[in-house]
Amino acid sequence: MAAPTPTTTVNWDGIRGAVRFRAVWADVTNYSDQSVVDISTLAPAPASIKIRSIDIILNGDIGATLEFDATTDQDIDNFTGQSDVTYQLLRDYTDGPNAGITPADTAAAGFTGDLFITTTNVASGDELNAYIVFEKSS
Amino acid sequence: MAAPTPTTITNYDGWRGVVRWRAAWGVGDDDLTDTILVDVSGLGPVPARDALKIRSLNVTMNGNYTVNLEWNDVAQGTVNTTTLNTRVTWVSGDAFQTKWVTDPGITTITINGVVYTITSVDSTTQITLASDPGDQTGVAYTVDEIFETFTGQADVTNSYVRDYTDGPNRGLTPDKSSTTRTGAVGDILLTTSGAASGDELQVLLFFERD
Repeated sequence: MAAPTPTTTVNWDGIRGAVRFRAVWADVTNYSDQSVVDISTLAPAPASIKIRSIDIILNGDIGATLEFDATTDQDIDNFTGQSDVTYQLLRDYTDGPNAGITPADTAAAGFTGDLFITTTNVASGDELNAYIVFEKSS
Repeated sequence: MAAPTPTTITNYDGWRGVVRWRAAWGVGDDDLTDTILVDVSGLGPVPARDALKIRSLNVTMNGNYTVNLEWNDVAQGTVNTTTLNTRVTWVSGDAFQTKWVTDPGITTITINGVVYTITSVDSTTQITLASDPGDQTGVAYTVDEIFETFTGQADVTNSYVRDYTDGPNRGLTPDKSSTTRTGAVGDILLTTSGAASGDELQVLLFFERD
């Protein structure tokens, strides 16, 4: 068994970016540090990004954690779905400090600044559909 | 049976537009395939380069089915096809993009009016299909780009809201690496799968010329 290959579309204008990410499970294999945004592929590549907003639709009793990649990944947010229900969960971080969620420590060991997703408890038929807006972090 | 006839109301002031769209399935009705949500050529004045961006989307689904929202004909040209290995070879026009299947979600190709599922994009000049296209030479191809997919649920009404105005370009545009836009038609389409009698779909979509 393997985790599903997601559909991932990233738009980036050098300052601000957005990613659309969607996956549908055919079995119970979770994502573990699945790449959502590989910042090294952005042109021009930023040193790190901050998350302005997350719009995530969960269909199923899924746990989803978004993180910045480092040797010890840095949590951004966690979302949980429910069996037989579809939830759309919205988070807007732009009214907070830095107008977004920034990495906890860009100097941490192994920090790449990539955006990862890790899931728990997925089942066949579950879906995850996310739209995330991010920005170059100064 | 036929697919349901949707109700479509479009307002456009030459800069910004909105479409209100609704369909309800009756007994035996089929799915909708490439139904036009926004017909760019029907806007007055027609946006330059037929280019639109989507500012926001509100999709209300009543029923257990899937809806794909698509940009029409983001790439097009001519190809040769062969029964051998179900392969398609690029001849002219927009070259294939090896990332198509997973980014931005181009999973089918229309060749000479017939839709085929893409198994893999092997190179910028070769695609392998899931089914046999037969032997054809110099025939037209187009691909649509799926930009959002939503799934409904039996006995539940779900409303999905997506606001793209905080992202780059303050709106959602087609993947510009796929097309030179030469001759591309920027219509916005809708395709459903699994819709059944009693299901409903309602879309409120705000767009702007790009």
